[in-house]
Amino acid sequence: MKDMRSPLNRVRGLGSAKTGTRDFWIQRLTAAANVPLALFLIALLVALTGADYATVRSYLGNPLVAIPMLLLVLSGTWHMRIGMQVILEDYVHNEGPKVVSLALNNFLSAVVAIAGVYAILKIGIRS
Amino acid sequence: MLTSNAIMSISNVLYIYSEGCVQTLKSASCRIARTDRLSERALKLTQETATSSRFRGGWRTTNVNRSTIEAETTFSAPRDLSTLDDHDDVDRAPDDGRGALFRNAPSYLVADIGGGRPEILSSIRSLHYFAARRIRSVLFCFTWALIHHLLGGLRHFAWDIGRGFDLRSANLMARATLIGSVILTILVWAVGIWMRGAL
Repeated sequence: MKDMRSPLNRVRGLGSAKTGTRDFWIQRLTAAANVPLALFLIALLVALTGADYATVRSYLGNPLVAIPMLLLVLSGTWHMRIGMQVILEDYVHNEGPKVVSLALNNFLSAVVAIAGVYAILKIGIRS
Repeated sequence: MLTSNAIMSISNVLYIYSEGCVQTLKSASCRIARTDRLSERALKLTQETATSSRFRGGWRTTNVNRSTIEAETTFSAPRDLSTLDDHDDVDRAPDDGRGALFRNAPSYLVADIGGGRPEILSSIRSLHYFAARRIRSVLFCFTWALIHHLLGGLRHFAWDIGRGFDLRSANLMARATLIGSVILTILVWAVGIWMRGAL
């Protein structure tokens, strides 16, 4: 017997992501969270179409709207980060560009998340 | 999934872009409404500031101009003007150069030309009208992309619990995702337009 590792251990970490199933699980978890939150967002968007600035602002200032929106920003950007990361891992084959694009993906997602949270908190706390 | 992701990103960018345009035009027309109601003294002062600071050039010109209008409005305008004010500058615009120039270029133009205001006013109004139309179509596309992505995710949930792997149901779900998303989007907006004002 040359190799004492089990067949499972031999293939572990050979996928394009090199890691385990944590991202897979979080992608499902955020997806499940996004279903009601996105439906809420669509309802809000449609309901507030044509409303004036003050009305939209007062709605976003309501905690019952602001908190789901905050949850959606966090859950959505996390979901977005993993989704784009999977695509990059699968389709960017050269190691250098892959590392760079994965890093940029993380930065972009962080910027989007923080910008969204900042905007919602700013409207919510000032009103 | 990849396509709907790309569409979501594109419509997001479009949305943010058109949102910026609309905000700029909104604050411009707000400012025009305000400028219209300003006292003679305020308008004159604005023009003086605009002309005198023109030679200094750069961002500073527009900032001085803006704060002049703001200050004069605060002190000389009647109280009910506050309903027109959507916190446009003080609240949102960071004092970085590009934003300030972009936001205040229309008012600068209006204040500087003075006599030619009516033409500029109507042109800005029609621009605002087109921007509002465009933002609505972009919003429609955005909701479709979101709903399509959501239905696609439900399909993946079905696969995650081990169902729908045979070719027939897989094709059925693919078709249902596409057709269902279009129908649902139209339905959502139809209900939204039908219920308009019931908020």
